[in-house]
Amino acid sequence: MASVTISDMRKSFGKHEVIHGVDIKIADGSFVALVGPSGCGKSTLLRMIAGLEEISAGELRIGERVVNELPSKDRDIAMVFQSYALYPHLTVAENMGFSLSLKKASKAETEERVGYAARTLGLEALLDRKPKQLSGGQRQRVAMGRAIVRDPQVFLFDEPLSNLDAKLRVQMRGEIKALHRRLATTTIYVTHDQVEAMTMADEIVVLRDGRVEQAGQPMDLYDAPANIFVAGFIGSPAMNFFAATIESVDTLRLEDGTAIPFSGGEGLAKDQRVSVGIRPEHLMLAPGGAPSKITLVEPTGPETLLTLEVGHAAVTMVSRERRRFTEGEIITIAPEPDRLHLFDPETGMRLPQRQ
Amino acid sequence: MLRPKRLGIALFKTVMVAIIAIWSLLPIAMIFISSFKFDREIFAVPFRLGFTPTFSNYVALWEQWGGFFSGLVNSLIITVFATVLAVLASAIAGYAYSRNRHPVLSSSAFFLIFIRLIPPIVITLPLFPVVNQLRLNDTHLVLIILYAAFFVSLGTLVMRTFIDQIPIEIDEAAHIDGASRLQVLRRLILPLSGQGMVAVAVFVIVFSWNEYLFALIFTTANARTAPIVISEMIGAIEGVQWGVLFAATSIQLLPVLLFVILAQKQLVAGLTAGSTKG
Ligand SMILES: Nc1ncnc2c1ncn2[C@@H]1O[C@H](COP(=O)(O)OP(=O)(O)OP(=O)(O)O)[C@@H](O)[C@H]1O
Ligand SMILES: [Mg+2]
Repeated sequence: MASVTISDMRKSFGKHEVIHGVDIKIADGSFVALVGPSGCGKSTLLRMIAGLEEISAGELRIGERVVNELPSKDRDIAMVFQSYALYPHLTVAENMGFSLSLKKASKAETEERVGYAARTLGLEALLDRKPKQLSGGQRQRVAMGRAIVRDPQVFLFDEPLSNLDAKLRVQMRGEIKALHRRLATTTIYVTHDQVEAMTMADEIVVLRDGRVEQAGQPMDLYDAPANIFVAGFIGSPAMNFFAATIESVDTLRLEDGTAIPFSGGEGLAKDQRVSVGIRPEHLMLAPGGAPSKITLVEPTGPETLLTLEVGHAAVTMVSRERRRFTEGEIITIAPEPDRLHLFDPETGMRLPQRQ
Repeated sequence: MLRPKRLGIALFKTVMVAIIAIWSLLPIAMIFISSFKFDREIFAVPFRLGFTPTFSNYVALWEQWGGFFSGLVNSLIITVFATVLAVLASAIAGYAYSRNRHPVLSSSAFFLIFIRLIPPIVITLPLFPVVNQLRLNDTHLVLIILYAAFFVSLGTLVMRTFIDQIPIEIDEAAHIDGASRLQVLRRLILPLSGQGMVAVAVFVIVFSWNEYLFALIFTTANARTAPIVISEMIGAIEGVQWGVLFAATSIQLLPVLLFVILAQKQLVAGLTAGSTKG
């Protein structure tokens, strides 16, 4: 196992720079998720770590070694591809043992290591099948088995679950997590699904347009997003944003005149313009709150997702109340006063708030 | 139940296929049948299917034209090696074309097509003095290299199309697994592009086995191929023995025919590579 240190790493395709100086420190044995919208450079970054894409500038260390110039095979990493990339003409056992056969490992060693991976992943019964004869979830497991057999310093995953159906995705999520707990191999996991990132990772790195927007533990990103982008990206359904001005230390006024009580605004100037972020799950039914018209009701069972019209703005709210909501109904709502997020409307950066 | 219109189309297709099959197979069948007839029966009009077959032509071929059988051996050696050479070179070049993007490669791909348009003889005749100088005249090697060379351009394009269908992630996964480029080629690309290789092989085999002109130019005795011997039979001084000639032709025809039939499935897949997904 090893740590991974990325320093001011850049990537250009021709004249077009797509990774603009990224710094990430990944501790030995940790599970890090790279998230971000499509095209932000997640795969490119991962492929640079894997040695599949040249590093245009900057430095990449695995452990103490600088590996910029090292070919993939000497970096001691294993990668699971979105398409799984299994060798179609080889059996499951041969797929998993391919790296060993290249090394001319003994038959006994190969059997032992492939057997171990197969037991870990529940693939014993499928060892003689070809990839064509497997279901999507089974292929996914074989791809992971191939990585496990290598016993690498670092696991790299590029959206490994995106080809699976929702239920299997949740199951595999748990399995990958359990596997990581067991093997404790440093893992870098690319996904565009922030729920996956939140549930699996020790640390999340949010990327946008080839830059790191924020890196930190999942709950830190949720509780204190560094800017409007991260605030909107982490959390589902996404955060609501309003333009507002600071009226006093404990009151905000929205543009439509609604006054909102809040706490922790000691450092802010009166009349300062801010962007307020309110998570849907931090809105409550409150007598005397802002009157809102329900335009859409989506019950999921434990909670109900509401789309509301407040003034002219569309607002989403998640309610856990056991109550019937009907479309067209007017309800009054207010946010939890200590759960507001304030951002500078110009820079998009989080404003200092006492928690 | 087929609707009448679909039935009509099906019928039309069957008839067309039958006509084409008869059209192309009839001469072969006639040669084959005639090789079991006595000379006087061969050109009897009308052509008769009912006759007592005789092996006398084959016996005469064996006794009088031993050169034909050593010609067959030469043909076999040349065909096998030319095919192996052309298929391997095409596969390696096709792999390079498929996996690399470079302006030089794209323009040379055009060159590969262009070069097919030049009549081979234009390039080959100037080679004659060179071959002489190298003392390669009348060796298997010169024909092996020539025949292989003729098909490397087409073969490369076929193989490239084929290898393009193998997802690049498979190469990448193998590189991460520790494979060198050569290992990727040998362990993954070649086994996965077998159909393409069969298609290329068919071209080379059919051509090398039947080729006449270059064999005539570059061989005299030792490396004489079967088609050359057959042509000598036609030009024999004491008059043509048609039965023996047809016997030789039948023997000459048989291996290629068998091979093409066996390789049919792969061949079709190879020739249509790239035209459909998956
Ligand atoms: N080989 C390439 N040549 C040129 N541009 C490329 C190449 N590969 C990626 N890019 C560009 O780099 C940027 C980042 O692509 P990348 O595939 O890393 O995004 P991603 O974050 O993985 O997106 P997704 O979630 O859709 O997979 C994109 O703008 C893409 O167009
Ligand atoms: Mg990607």
